[in-house]
Amino acid sequence: MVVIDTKFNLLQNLVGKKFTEKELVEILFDMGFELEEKVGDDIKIELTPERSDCISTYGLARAIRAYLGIKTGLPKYAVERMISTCKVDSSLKQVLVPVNPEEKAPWQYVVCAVVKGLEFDDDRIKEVIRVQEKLHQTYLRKRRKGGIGIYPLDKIKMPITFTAMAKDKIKFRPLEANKVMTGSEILMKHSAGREYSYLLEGNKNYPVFIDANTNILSMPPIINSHDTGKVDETTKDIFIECTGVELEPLLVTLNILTTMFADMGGKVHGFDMLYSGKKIKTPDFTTRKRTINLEEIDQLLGIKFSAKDAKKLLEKMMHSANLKGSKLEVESPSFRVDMWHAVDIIDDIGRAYGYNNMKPRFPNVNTIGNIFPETKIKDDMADVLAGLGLVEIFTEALTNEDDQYSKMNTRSVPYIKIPHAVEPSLNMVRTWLTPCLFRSLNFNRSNRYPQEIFEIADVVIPDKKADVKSKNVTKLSMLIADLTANFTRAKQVLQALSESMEVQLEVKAKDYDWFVSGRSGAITLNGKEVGYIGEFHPQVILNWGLEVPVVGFEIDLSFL
Amino acid sequence: MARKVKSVQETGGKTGSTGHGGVWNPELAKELVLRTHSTATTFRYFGTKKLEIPCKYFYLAKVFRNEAIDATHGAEFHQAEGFIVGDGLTLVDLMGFVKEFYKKLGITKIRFKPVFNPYTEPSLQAYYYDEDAKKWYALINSGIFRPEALEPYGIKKSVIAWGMGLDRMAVILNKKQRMKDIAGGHLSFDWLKSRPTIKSEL
Repeated sequence: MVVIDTKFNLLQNLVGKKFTEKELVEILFDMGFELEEKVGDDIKIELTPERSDCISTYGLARAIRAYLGIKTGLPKYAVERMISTCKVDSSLKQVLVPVNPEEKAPWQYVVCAVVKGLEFDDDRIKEVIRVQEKLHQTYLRKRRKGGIGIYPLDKIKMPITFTAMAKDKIKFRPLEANKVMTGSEILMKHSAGREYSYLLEGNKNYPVFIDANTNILSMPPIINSHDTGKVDETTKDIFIECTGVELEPLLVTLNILTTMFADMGGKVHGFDMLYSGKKIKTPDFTTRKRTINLEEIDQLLGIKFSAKDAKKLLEKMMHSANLKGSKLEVESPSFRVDMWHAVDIIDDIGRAYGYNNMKPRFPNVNTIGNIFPETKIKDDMADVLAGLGLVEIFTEALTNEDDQYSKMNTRSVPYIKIPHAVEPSLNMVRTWLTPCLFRSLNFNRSNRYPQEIFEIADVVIPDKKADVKSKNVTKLSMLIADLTANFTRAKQVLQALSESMEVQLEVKAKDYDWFVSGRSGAITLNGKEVGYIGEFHPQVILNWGLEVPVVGFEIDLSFL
Repeated sequence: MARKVKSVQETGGKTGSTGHGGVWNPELAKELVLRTHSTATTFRYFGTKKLEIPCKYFYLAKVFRNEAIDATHGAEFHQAEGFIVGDGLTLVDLMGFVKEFYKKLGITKIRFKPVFNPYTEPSLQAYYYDEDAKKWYALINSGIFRPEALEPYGIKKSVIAWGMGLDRMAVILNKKQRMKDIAGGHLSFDWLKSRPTIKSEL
């Protein structure tokens, strides 16, 4: 989910219609968004991630205007003319940026645009900064996928070049600094450089924009030059660039920004991006075209629409549609990045119609219901144990070595590790249940005794042969904590369970690290060991902060 | 299977979709992960090819999120998920199923909201009205599986699927406030023993 901060009055003005807070809640709900909060004029709106076109208030107002029927159909955007070129040097292929902790990719793509004839006030500038930062944080994955630079045009001499330069040869005065710095110095001493140093660390060269006067305009994705300046209330014309590791997201980002500036009244001019081997024109306002059959709509939504009605609904979602026989030719705006398949178009028809206007019908699929045999047996076992007065509990699967082994007086066995655990005490998956039940006894040490509990649940053990290199094993663990608890009490429960399941579970003497020597045994089924039972060692009881004897057993239920 | 998934992700495969574009990295996909949502298991089950169509399946799953623990969030919780595979299943069928599901929980005041899931389109969230809090809450997320999601498994029939936070539902049914009040190893045995379990209506 993406949450945007904007202003209620701005949104109202841009939509071109007055609405109350309650009405806005309803409109956004039906569109699939949510008004999270309104405090005075400040509002927070939750968007779904595929509607990055609504990240700017202008984009959101555009969508609402169409949805309300105020201005429907395909919004038209055009590039006035190609204003200049940007040469893209292949040296950028050597600049590697970590797109995630495991992978690096070359920062080799760039798209540009110019917008002229703008008027900026304080609110507009704040909106632009907010949109830029939100795109950086969400769509561009904290600048790992791409970076955006917006500059006043007047100090830039076209044409420009995007290239890689040795980090100590890069010398310019970055924004918010009072002197010239090298690329390395920026990463070490400048606040933006330090915050985003992880993006460029380890490279000998960093990306730079250079204009026709060989001035450095910026070092993406870190910081712009102080000499080109910041957009302020006197700015009329701007230059926008997006650089990054993949071309498609940059085209989308540029699209969101240029359409926003066009909606502000600006005129968009384009660039020829000169890559080695190909030339790309940006920005790209090419619409997306797809043809669907009317019956496909019924097949997906369950409602028959006439071509006329379907067309009107599509126009409320900013598409245009023309009937050709029994097919609809649909044209979608370039900023709708979520149109991958015919189902996306039909989904829009559904949203425009209004989900709460549809008549639900129970699916006509006849099947015979059942529960998997293993599940039924586990449920029946739980019933028997509950009938014996034990309480069923459910504990956590994530744990640590100290709980699983040290506190149980034993050594660790192979287990599944979690290397990047955010909670350091939850860095492995349990291999047995008994310690988890002890943890529960510890939480309950101030409650009444006797405490008689059990759990039937999965543990995970490594398995080299499995495709996921591990396997789930279902186990049953039972503990009785009581002043008079002894081996016989545990054996009685085991016997009752065994008899109710028609299996012969037997016990043969065996010592374990966590039990009192001579007061424990292995549980066997047809001679094979399937578990253990006994009186717990006083050290284990002390380790868990308890003051009463504890007895119990744990069985591997794989034999079911 | 990996080749089919890569093809659909990048270019849409044979579905007529444009695909996501980008590059699907099989090495990254092979890394082991504790499931973060139950839908992962639905698709693993599709992969076993044990489905007898038409069919309706449901299951309860422990899911894991690598996040810091606080008053309202744990690292593990439970989801319930189900799907129906059959001929001609549409959005109104999904709505009908979800409506009936809520009815069995004793809830009839519900609203539908369009939502986004990468693997379903259309997607639907069903909100119910909490009379005490005087607020609408989302409990069930659902949708119709996209052609791109089904294509690597060769499933040609329509599939509607739904999922919900099981702990959330338990919180509501037990009239509690937080997941920590009804789930976890720290729960009081006394409370567990004293809860009424025989109720004439939910």
